[in-house]
Amino acid sequence: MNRRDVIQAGTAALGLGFHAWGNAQSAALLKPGKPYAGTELSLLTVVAPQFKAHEAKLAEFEALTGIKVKYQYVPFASTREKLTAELVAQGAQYDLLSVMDVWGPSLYNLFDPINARLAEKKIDMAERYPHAHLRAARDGNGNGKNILGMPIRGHVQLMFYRKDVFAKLGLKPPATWDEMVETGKVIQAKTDMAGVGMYYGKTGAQNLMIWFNYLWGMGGDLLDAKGQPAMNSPQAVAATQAYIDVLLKHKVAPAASVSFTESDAANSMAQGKVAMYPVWWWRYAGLVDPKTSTLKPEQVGFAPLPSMPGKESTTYTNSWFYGINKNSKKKDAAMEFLTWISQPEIERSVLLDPSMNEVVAVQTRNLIDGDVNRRYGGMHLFGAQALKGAKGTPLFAQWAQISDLMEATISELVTGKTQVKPALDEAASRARKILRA
Amino acid sequence: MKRHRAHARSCAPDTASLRKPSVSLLRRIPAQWLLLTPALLFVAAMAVFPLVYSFVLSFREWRLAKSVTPQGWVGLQNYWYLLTDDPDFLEAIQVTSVFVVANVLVTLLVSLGAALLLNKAGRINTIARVLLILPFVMSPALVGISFRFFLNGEYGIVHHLIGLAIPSMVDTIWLADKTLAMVAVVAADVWHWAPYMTLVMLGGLASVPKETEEAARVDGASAWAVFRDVTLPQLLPVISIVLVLKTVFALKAFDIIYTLSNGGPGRSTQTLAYFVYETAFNYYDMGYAAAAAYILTAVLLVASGFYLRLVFRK
Amino acid sequence: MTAGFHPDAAPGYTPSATERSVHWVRQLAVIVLISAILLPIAWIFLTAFKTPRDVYSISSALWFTPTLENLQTVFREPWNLGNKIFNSFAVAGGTVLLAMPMATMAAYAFSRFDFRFKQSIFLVVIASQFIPAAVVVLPYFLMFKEAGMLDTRTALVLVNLSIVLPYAVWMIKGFIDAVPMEIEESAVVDGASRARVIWEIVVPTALPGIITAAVFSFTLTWNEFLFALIIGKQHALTLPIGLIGFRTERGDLWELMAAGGVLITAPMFLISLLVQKQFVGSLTAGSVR
Repeated sequence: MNRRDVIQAGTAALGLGFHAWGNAQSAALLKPGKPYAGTELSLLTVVAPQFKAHEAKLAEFEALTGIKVKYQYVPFASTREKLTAELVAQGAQYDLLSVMDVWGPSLYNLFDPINARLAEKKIDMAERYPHAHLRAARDGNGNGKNILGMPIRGHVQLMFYRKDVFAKLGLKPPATWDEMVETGKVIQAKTDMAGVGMYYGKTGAQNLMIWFNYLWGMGGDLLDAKGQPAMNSPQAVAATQAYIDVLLKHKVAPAASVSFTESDAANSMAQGKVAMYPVWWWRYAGLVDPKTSTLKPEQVGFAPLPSMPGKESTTYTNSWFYGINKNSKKKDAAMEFLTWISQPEIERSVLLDPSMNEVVAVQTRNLIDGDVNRRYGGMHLFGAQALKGAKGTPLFAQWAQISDLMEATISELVTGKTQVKPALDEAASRARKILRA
Repeated sequence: MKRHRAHARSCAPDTASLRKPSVSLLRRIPAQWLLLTPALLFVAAMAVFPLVYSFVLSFREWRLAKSVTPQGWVGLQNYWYLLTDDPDFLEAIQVTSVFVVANVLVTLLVSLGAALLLNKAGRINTIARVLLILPFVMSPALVGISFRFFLNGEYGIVHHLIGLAIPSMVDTIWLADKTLAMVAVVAADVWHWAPYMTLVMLGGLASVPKETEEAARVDGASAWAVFRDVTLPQLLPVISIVLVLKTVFALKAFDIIYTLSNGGPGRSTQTLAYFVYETAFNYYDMGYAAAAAYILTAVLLVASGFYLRLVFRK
Repeated sequence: MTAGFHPDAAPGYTPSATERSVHWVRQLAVIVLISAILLPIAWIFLTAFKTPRDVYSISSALWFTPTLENLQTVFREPWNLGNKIFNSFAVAGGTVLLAMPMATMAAYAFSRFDFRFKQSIFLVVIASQFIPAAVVVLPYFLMFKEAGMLDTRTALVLVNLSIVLPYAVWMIKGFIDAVPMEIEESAVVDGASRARVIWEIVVPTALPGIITAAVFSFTLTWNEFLFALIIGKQHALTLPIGLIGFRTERGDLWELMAAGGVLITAPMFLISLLVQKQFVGSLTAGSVR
């Protein structure tokens, strides 16, 4: 079954056909007559190729509406501090703000719900966005009825692998985590590469991102149905053990992965030191860019993440949305911008831009779009599929403390100096205290 | 003569004290200094404000996620939890003690040794002295990130060089080992600060009278005796400056640790400053963070109280 | 060569064998010291001229195709490092220019005068720096917001002034303390005004201390991050913000940070050369006592 068949089968399976584009519908969503001409909006966002591509299109928006939007880039590592100041200031330094899903629950007071505005513009959010991304923009820990913004950037995880090495050794991408270990062993025996680039270092909860897939695959979760800590359940203990055993017992990850960050592992893959790398799909660009990688596009393959035997592939998700500052005095103009920037065509044009390798997409239509999938070899169909069953990032106010606790626990477990069950029991009891507060 | 009398009128109350210079002549504050008042008020305000604000905040509950303004008063509850119910805080205290003591000691020894080394004329010494400022002006974040990359197991230059020099360490992953991570963090901070402290020490050495040293040497004293009995006592003020400065900044060090080890592995390099930052900006628990900050401040206040009593003795 | 041993030694003086070996050991130690300082900086320099692909590989550690692209990229959007470096110089320079006179006068007052609560005031001024910035940055932010001074370099100068003054006052006071009061007394008795006494006697003797304090204040302001982050938005962004900006989703863009490091080192090296001349000058002048 070649790529083309896969794509056709995929779209058919998702129950939607190809869509022809060129609709002027979205332009009609903007208010006619430039009622906000002359307004200047300030948007707090982070540097990402996707956003830079958006910024390049702003002239068009200004021509349509007369609204000038200023992109204020903030260091990615310091976005939270800026948002904190904005929250405390209760005045509007920025009219629009970009927020990452897990920070949402602590920042509800910052945003003006846009439900009424969406109804006015007749935008059907559920039709546009996969549930996993849309819930990040809702209050009430993802289940509330208020929508706080437009999802603008969202990621799923994939397993990247060395197509050439696999072909030479007659291997296929692993479907389960156990298969991944076996494949890794073969690779380490037959080449001087390590099997899989894991990242267990303590940085921004990165060592939890693959761990969650182990956890969900085994039927466990961070919190149980009542919202109580469940990280020491038998499933969680087994999942954690399997996760760290990739390095500790089976040794199919490089020794240095003990302190690797996600980008260290990316560099490892790009330098040809590991054969597999489970990570966010946007890492693709860096793996095939000659400036950052020794690999060529022909060498980089991708597949859905492995899972537990008999279970569907899972994915952790990461979503960002643009929301309107509650204290902004230019909310209507801000909504015009949100309406415009969230058009499917804009996302699609960035995806198809030949000068970039930007794969990020959050809208269902684009995920199953034929041209997009042809360009990226079906990656987005994989994404759409994974998103259907994605449990999504846990959304609750104490995420910062609990995730910090878990990543510290795991980074310590991986040094091999502590045991899994006692460490997780300790984590659970601390988590209970945190959640009570 | 006229100027003298005018001056005398504003300073000296009686002619008797004019005949013999006495301490009281200089110790009264003349009117001109009141011109300084705005500036001093500004300094006082900017100085007092953080102390008072964080003190007051430490008695309140303020969860930023729930309320954009401070919530209710909780008395000593924050302090109580910190000291009795927060293993992370206690671990942070332990980590901080190790970090600060190691940091200050190494910096002191290195900077004193380097200053003695560089305190002679000579081109190579001049070159060294010019270079001393460079590590200090590198942003702490840049230093932290660079050192993290230097120690990377796959392409880190320091990792490789040490592996060449000490074969048993060729596979050690520095940042995965609690002790080595602490060594790395201390080394990075020492690299950042010690060269500058050397400059400070050099400044101090400059005010040591050479004649006394020469005299002692001519009298036949060994180099070590000269150092111990003449140089060192004269250097004590400068050494104390270095000691206090480095202690304060070691306690405040954050960016360098955040970028180097992120407090890991586990929490083995998470100092108090890190703890306060995380609690405030990540956990959004502002009152609690203020209390933690104030425990740190209280310790420093007591220590500097003692120190100042010594300094102001004259 | 003999001058290296004893600068005031008589001509024709021949050093002994021990003295010679001590000399060489000293030279070696200095070289080791220089290497320890320079190795990280040299590595950062090398990194600035590598593509990311070469940065993360030990085999291209020394053999690689150099590129100027990093240095060019950091000046363009969205990084704009040139603008940020300018702001850093402006804020740091402004802070030092304001802080030195204020600190010298305050240090003189603390050193020479007796007034009530002197010790306590001094303690409070210094203790203000014991509070980690994370706790106080938000109230400062609100204060400047009320004053309409957000995103201005002036606000940054004010904040940094409050940060560096305690240290500057304390450092300079130490050096003024070391100036014996008798010299001032006799000058005052001889008819000099106090201002002249300070300017012509105290300041020159305490100059090493003032320069030390100036360098320290400059560097503290230069490296200050948190206040600049919270208070700045577009016009008052400084270099540390720029450097942290290289920590992206993709990871730490070390090659760009290193380029930033290169841009810092060059002017700082020049400034250090200049200050050295002053420093050495005042070292030799100050030692004649």
